[in-house]
Amino acid sequence: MKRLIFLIFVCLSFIANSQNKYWIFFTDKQGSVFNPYEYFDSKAIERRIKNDVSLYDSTDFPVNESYISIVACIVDSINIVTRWFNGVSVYADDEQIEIVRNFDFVKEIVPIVSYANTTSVEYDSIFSYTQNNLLRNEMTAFEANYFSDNNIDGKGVRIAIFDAGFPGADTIEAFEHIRNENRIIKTYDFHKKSENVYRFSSHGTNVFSCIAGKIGETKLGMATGAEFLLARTEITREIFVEEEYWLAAAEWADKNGADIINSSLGYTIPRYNQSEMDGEYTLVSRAAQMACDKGILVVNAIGNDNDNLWRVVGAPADVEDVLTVGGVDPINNLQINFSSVGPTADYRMKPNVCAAGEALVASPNGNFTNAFGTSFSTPLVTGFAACALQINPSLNNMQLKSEIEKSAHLYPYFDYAHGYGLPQASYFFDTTKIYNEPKFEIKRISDSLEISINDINDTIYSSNNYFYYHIRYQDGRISRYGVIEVFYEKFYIDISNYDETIIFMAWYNNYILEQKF
Amino acid sequence: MKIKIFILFIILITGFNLFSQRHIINENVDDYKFFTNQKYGIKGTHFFWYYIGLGFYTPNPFDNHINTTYGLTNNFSFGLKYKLQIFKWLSFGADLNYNFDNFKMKSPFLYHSFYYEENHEKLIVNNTGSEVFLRFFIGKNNNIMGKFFDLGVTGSYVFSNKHIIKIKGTEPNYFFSESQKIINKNVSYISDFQYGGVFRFGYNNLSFYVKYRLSDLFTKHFIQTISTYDLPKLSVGVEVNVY
Repeated sequence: MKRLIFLIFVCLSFIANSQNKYWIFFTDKQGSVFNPYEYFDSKAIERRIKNDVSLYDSTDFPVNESYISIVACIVDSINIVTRWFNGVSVYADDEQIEIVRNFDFVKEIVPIVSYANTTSVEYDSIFSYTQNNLLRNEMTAFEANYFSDNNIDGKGVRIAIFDAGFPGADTIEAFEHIRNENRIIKTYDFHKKSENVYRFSSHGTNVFSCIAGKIGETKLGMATGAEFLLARTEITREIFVEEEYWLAAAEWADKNGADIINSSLGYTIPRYNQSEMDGEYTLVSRAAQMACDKGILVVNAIGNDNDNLWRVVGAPADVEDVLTVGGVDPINNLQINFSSVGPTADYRMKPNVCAAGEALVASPNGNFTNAFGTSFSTPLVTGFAACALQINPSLNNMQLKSEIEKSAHLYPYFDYAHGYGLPQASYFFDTTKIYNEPKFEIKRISDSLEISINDINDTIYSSNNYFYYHIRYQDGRISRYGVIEVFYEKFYIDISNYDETIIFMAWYNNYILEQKF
Repeated sequence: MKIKIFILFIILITGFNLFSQRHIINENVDDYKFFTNQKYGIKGTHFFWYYIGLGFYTPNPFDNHINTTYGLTNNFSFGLKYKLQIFKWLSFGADLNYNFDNFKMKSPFLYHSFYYEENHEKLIVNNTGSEVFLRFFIGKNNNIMGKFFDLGVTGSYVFSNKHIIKIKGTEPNYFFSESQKIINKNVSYISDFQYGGVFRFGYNNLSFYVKYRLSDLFTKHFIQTISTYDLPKLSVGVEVNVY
């Protein structure tokens, strides 16, 4: 009997007093002393001036040291300190949290539970002739030759990469050109609290290579001349802390002058549900919005959940100002099966643009392999963004995002699988977009729309044979979208379900038409 | 023959082309219910999940029971649970389950005799039942089950039972001098219906429970006339929930 009571007691105490993680947010930053010229890297100051962001923004002031000290005396340990949100994340039990809650300077305490996914899927490691084709497809989809022919390689642009580890980035040939020029500016492992990020998961190495990898004259990414901040924010064993590390890394990237953050990460099920993907609910989304407010372009993967129950965008890709990247099949440039779709929970368009969802990447052992996932679409766009910024250094982050969207091949057509499509480098050399002569006409016949194609492309399986369309309501929400493979002059799209006014928009062979019905 | 195959090939190709103007992507966003409809899911109004459990009957001071070999006297169960969320902190739950109870007697019970030098008895009870419970959530849990405790009542129907006796006689010339195994199936001294109470606490997929059987396993008549004791009623165990 005693044993039984003891067992129950032990189990109950496990539940009642188990150590948890919490965010503790403070009411103010009273007494904080802040000198931006000491705190920020000179590149960060430059970026702020360019983006018209104050150097004396209170969110950058340090957290009140006495608050931290008092909390530190009570809780088991402090994990990270956030200036942006004026708080700390801590390990504490329920009793300790109740004590902390009573302090006047504590504004809010939020329990932390999260599960993170690196947005990649398994890949095989066979290097083959087809991978050369893959690399060519990845690059030609962006018209990357425009950049390379004009010696545009992201020079002078600083990119922060948040990932799960970068083993081999300090040794393998693919990054030799970067190491030789000391362009890995800083590194930090937010879990191990160490500067050594060259270990653990190879996901970061793969992603890094899609931005800046190079072998001889062959580029795996477009921004081979950029500078880098490498942050390890993702871990596999403990699932509760990645969002905190993401926030800490964003502050670190801001401090160290990052122009662009590449985040091939997403936070979805089971911590959140789809209705919370509104760009504001999750801490990591608020952190990403804050990074955007500080003038950094955040490029984030949409996720790989289209073929499971989740399906839609994850956090922080749900943030309005984040450049969210979807994945396409590099052969036909149509949505790749796993790439998550938009919209956000408040029906904003996501993804913004797309890129190949299968890419040739460098492995820690120096070999090359093809990898699948929007994890690898994202760095391709990050590399593109760095080149675009090099061409137009006066663009602030939101202008840069907007220009990348405008450059995309479907723009101004959009849908929730491709966004505006694949960014095109030619746009940054000549912003006048040339649209084709009318290629099709739309006529309403009873409950259907009759589409008449004027000039059928006779190249079977060319991407120019794809007819993209969407039907949206007047408030801008897309109701339906699709892609039709065209072989005949006429076809019909049923609109019998609609009683109200709808807007039909379509793209075919670089010609766009929009009509109200 | 070759010409026929060629013509068939042409027909197939033509047919393919006739029907090949097709929707490669056709997505109806109006069908996305997950933004507004949180009816189903772990924190939705309705949620179903499977579980398996393993428990052990333990001694307790509340009732007179037959001594059993603890550890070997155990209970295995699996079933389907349902949760109806009432408030953020409270839900109503029910389950359908199958239970396998295994009682290993420590000392001779029914077949006690001077003629036997060894006597091992085991009672196996198969039942199917249901539980209704109130689940109280502790703290803020978002889209996970989080910390909780349950208070509930259980009821079950015994659809089969077995009383297994292994004996060996003491007298060399006696009929039972060799080892014997006797299996009595569906014995009449096991009650058809059982009921009890349950307390459970857990975190996400794992929960621990304490169950107390309020009914006697043996029939009233059997306890009054033969046994005077019942089998242990208190069990503690662990459940793994599959979300």
